[in-house]
Amino acid sequence: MFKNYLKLTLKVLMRRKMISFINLFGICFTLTILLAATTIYTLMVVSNPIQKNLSNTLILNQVTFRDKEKQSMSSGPAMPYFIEKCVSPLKSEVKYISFCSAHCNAATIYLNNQRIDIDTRETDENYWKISSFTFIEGRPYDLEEIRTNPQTIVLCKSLKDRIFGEISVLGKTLKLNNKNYKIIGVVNDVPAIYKSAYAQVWYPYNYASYVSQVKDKNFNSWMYQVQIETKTRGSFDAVRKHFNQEVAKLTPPERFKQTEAELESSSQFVFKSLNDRNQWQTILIAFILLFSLLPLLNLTNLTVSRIFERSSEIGVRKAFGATKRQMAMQFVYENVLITCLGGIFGFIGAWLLLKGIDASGLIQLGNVNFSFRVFAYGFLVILVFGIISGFYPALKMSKLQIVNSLKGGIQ
Amino acid sequence: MIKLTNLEKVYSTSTIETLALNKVNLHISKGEFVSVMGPSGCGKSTLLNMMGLLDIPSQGKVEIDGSTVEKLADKPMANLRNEKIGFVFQSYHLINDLNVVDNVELPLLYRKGVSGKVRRQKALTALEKVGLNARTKHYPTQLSGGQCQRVAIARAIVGDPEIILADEPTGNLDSEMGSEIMNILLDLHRNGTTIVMVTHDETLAKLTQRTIRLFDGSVVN
Amino acid sequence: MISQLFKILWKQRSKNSLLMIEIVFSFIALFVLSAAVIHYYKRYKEPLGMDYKNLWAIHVEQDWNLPAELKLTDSVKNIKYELIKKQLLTNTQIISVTKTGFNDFLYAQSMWTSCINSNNKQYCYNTFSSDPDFAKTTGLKVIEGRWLMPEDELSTTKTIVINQRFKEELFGKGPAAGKTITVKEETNSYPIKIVGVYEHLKRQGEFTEEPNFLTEAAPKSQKYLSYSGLLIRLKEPIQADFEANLVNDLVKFDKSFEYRIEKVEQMRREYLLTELAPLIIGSAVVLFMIVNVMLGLFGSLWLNISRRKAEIGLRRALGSSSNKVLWHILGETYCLVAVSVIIGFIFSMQLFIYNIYNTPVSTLVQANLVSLGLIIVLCTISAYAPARLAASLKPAEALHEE
Repeated sequence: MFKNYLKLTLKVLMRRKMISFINLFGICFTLTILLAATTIYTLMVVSNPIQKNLSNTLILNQVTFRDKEKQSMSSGPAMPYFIEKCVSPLKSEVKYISFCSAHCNAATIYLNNQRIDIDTRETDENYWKISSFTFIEGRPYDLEEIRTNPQTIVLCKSLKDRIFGEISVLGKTLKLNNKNYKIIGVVNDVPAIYKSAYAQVWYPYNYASYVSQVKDKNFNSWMYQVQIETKTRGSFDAVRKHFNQEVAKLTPPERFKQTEAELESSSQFVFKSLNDRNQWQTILIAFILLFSLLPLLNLTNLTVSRIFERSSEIGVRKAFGATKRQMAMQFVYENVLITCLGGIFGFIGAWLLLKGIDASGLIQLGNVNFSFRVFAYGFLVILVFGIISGFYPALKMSKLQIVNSLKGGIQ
Repeated sequence: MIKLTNLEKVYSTSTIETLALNKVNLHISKGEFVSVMGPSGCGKSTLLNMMGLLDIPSQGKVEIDGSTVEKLADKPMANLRNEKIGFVFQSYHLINDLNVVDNVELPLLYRKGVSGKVRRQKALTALEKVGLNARTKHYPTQLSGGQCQRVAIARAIVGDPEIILADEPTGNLDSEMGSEIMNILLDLHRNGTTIVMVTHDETLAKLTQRTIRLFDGSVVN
Repeated sequence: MISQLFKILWKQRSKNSLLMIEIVFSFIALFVLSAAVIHYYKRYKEPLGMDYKNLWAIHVEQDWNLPAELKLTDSVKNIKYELIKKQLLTNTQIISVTKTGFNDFLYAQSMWTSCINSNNKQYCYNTFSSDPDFAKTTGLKVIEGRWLMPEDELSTTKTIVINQRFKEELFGKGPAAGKTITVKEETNSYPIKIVGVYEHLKRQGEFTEEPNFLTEAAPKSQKYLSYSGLLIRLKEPIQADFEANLVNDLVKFDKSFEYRIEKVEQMRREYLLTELAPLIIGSAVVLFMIVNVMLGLFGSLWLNISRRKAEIGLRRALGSSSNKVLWHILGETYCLVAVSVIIGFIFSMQLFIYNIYNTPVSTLVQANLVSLGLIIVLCTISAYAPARLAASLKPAEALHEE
């Protein structure tokens, strides 16, 4: 039976090539956009080759102090004292706690009069455990090294190649901001969209300064973003609750009465920064969603139009014993086949688009293979498209009298 | 085989009510070849549609093979059409996207437990009966009117129905082709199939066992 | 004629409703997109106020993590900045140098915003300090009064210059130079004296809105840090090794700071790109979606006409010319567009009412007109081929189909 429908669907597709092209184009394009967007979303929010457990990770990106009347406030990344007081107590309930500079710092070096801009980041030792960097040579720094030998760095491969060429650089020094750093590791490049993992040079936080700031209860260095890798996503609530208790216990700095801080999931973190940056981006996302409905409408509309064309076929099939249900199934099945075909082109299109984006350097993605998850979502979208677009016409059709459809007039 | 009791059909739109059939009582026995004649709009086709379960009567009873059918649900009604009845239409109603043999196989698609092999075999046999076994891979658009109607007859008989309902099967054909088609129907009749045929052609009607004349929705015998 | 077209539209409403939804969607999409484009274009036409070519920003900062004993006090830093400025001026490549707080805000997210109350109204503005050479170095145009002078740094009243936009908000068309306004803070209030007005200044490139600006002179006696770095204007041609040498010289001159150079021209280019990127991506998506809608319209009209061959044949047989048939089909499409645009307009009116992005009403009106025009053009394009097909049908063959 289904083999027969398959044959018929292909025949129908070939018969009205223009209409088929319109349908396939729409589905293919929509799916390309949706798949590309989902892939990028997954890389940023769920998991990527470096941040494998993003979905289990909570991020503290902003601490806000307010006065009683909520008139003035002071807000920014977390400071060492806050981390020690409010985050460290969570240690026993989570896998890792790590902090790093909230934003990359720009550094410039001049190599044979050529300017090289470098994004640098201060990190602690757990930073290397939360994210799985690929070390080409050397190793990351540990707490002992941070304490005793703070002038060490890890750098990314492309930067190493640019400065030193294709040689081993372990133990060599690099001069940054007038200070000499010893290179102890080289890692593969990290794409900038892997927000917390991205930098070109990583170096240890200043241990002495950190300790003294904690001791002095200093609230002035707004510097660090905290990543907390929990054991499971299910423990988010418990961790947040404990954290909120610790925040409530904290005595805010002078002038202020109230402390606000939130542990954000990776999606909250990414989308907040999107919203802050540009309002149009929100509209854009809404647009893409809204407009992915258009090909669906097109397909439905054209299928309905086609029912008129094929009314004789419907009448005959019914006359020879097809039930309403079987007829409805035929239309749904046909549309699912068409959307699947469009879907295959969509998968190819999305893959090419992502490759293109990656190659153009506009957004480095690092990994353009579809994860199983994205594949499943894409397939789900295809199915939903096919079923919905086939269902509405099928519903209309099943209401038809056989006699009328044989006459060919369904007004 | 087919028994109609006090059958009435009213077509109603919001403004007009048309009485298409008026208290028709009719009995067609097993193996009979009956022709239905009458002027345009007298309700011939409506009568045939009622017998074929393509349309539901407004009043009255339709019995096929002893069981009342007009109140059946969609599924058993569809099964009944599939197993007992074969249709031949004036304008053939072949599916242009399918080739000849696929068109003929169609009724068997809706029958449970018929494998692809058996379907193909039965379709080829039916095509042989109508003398078209040389053109199984052609498409309807590549055939003449007479050939199309022979494909349609093959489709009607492929499921071995007890009843064949033919709505002006020769209406679109010239007399030579028409008589060819008539010969096939007569052959089927000889093999025991019940046939009801709507026609305009007196000479064809004379070849049948009985002619029912309709006028304004009533039988006028 | 027209009422007949609407009658057909109404009779086939269930069939047309899907098409109508698509046209409504496209209208809204075109509206939002054209509003964005018009908005950006208008901003782009407003002058930048500053000449970014060969203008470099030098960030002069101390390492955050320095031990306390090595950290310089603000007043020492103020003196050191002056010394660095003098040192830079010895370089023949450099035309002029200004010490300023503007560097931190140039193409950056952060900004220092304050508000003053005057005449029971609140006026908010962006503020930074700079020295008397700022206007000369950046190319600001002073249109009233004068720029800050060295004597302003000795004055006991705070001396400021403001931009034209701020002046108009405060004083309307009247003069501002020489006027004094009073700033009230929680505990104290003090007068500030306006000595001049400059024409324009945008800090984040052409696509952003010019804020109210207030530039103040930094009194010599001031204890806190006034500046975050320097801006320098260079003479062309600039040698390849100039930048590296400049940084080297600065490091040699004073080792207590870290120096980072940013070229304003390059910052502007990068910032414009990030501003434009969503617009470009948005246009691309809308374009493809509109193509989709056009194809959909085309497809369903095409199917519609092959189904209506008999009706069209009848119209021809009854004496309708082929031109009339063409216009009949186009007319049907326009009716569909008219109804859809009215619905779409109701949605776009929501944007008028809420006006979430503070877009001027004129922009919204223009955007409505532009998207209306575009929709008509696009629908005509996609309806034309089916309409031609219908018009070219011979009455005889069209009727024969049935």
